[in-house]
Amino acid sequence: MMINEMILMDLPNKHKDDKRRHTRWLNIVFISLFACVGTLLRITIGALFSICEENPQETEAANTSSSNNMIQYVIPAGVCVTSNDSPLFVDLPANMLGSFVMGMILSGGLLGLPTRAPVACVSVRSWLQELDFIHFGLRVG
Amino acid sequence: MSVCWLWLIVILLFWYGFFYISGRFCGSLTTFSSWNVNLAIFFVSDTSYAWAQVLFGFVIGFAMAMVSFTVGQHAGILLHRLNNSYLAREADLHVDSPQKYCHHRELPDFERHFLTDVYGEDFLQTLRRKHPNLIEELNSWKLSTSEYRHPYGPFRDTLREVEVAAFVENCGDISSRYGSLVNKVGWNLNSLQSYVSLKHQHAVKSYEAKDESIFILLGVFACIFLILIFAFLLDGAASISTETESSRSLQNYHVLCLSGIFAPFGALGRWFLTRYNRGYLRGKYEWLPLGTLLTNLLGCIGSIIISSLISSYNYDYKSECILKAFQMGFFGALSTVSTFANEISVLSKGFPSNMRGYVYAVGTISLTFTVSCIVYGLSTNSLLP
Repeated sequence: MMINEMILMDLPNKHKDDKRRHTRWLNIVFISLFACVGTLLRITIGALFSICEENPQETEAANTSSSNNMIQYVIPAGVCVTSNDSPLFVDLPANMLGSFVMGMILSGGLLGLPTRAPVACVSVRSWLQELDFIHFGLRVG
Repeated sequence: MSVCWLWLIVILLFWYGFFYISGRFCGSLTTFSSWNVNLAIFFVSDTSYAWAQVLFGFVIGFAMAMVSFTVGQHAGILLHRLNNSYLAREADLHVDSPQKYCHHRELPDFERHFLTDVYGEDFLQTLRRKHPNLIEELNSWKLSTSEYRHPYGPFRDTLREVEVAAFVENCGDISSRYGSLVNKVGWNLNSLQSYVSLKHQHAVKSYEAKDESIFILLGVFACIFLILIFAFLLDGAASISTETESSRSLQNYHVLCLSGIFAPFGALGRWFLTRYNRGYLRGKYEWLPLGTLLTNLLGCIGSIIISSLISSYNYDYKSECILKAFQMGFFGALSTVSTFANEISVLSKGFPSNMRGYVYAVGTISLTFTVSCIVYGLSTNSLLP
């Protein structure tokens, strides 16, 4: 690096302001994309931890179904830890994972660190820091 | 195998993109509604010792989210130290030898580290080789002010003002503002001004080369990927019309596909409502994140209504799948636990001066649980005599 960037990055610069013009449509696109991925992941994690055993007849029925045999890949066989009928509810693992990720990618200020980087866990000179949506996403997520 | 490849692409995109929209991803990955609704149904249903299950359900759900959030914060701090060695070194210097610590934190990282000897000799030599004039000027300024850099030294505030004006405010005329005083104490103001001027010239050249095409490219790439995911989900959901009565696995698959289609609308609704987090309430409850409270409340009400509909009426396979998918996709993405945990963490910083964190946590859980119980009880006639 970047030594050049290191010296110059903190200087106020009017060129940075131009990047804000496309904020709204980028927000909508990325919200939709990651909401979709996040929900699929949540349901998959929920299934992974809650499904107790595969009924052989059901598995056979699924394999011969008119849909396709992708179900076996998408919904994995479970490990039977969580349940809708217990305090260890089905979405508990996904909530834990989401909260962990949220805590990990906080801004420097919220983590009590001596930096104003929007995402403290990556380098303060990373190009990821220049994406304003990170800061906004962390606030409202 | 094609699905395996799709998941691989999703994971790769997640890794590179989740910083970009991290909050939205976490918000959709976590859900407040299903947690609350499960416990409300459990409570309203005539189950023995339901109160104990509900109590432990809330305690475990809340505690696990907060613990995960705290561990995530620690992981973030460790990664920060790993990826920002000079900031970590500066923090260590601050602990080990406070007298070396720069007394004005407003300065940009590079100048702050240079002036307080955070950089090692190897790095300084590289700097001198690459930017001889720039470093020479800054070094002259540093040498002329070194004895005034002590936290308890004289003219400490003046030094702070001069450096903030030069490095932060990029003031072009420091001499007229501080010249007379600075000349008395012997600081090399000419070097400082030369440094600022050189740096500004470099910066304009450097940033002019950048444009916003990377942002547009990212957006277009995300659009294409979103369309691909939607096509895959619609293809999966299309077979629902040919099924009449299917296995649980197949139903899970159909619900999964439909949930993915509904989820973006829930997340966009949450984004819309979060504008009420700040500046909407006045007075005593100005601090309350009203937007997040509303998203969680609406998510719970919508989710519990769907649960009561499913338990009260016999729907055909297709309708039941759509209702479940709407519950898990739309209302699941509308409500969030990760932001809830983040807000509690921020509000709890005021403890013990105030109890806002606890008030917000207990208030949200109590409100959503009570409303969910009432709605479910009335809609399934469980509360009626």
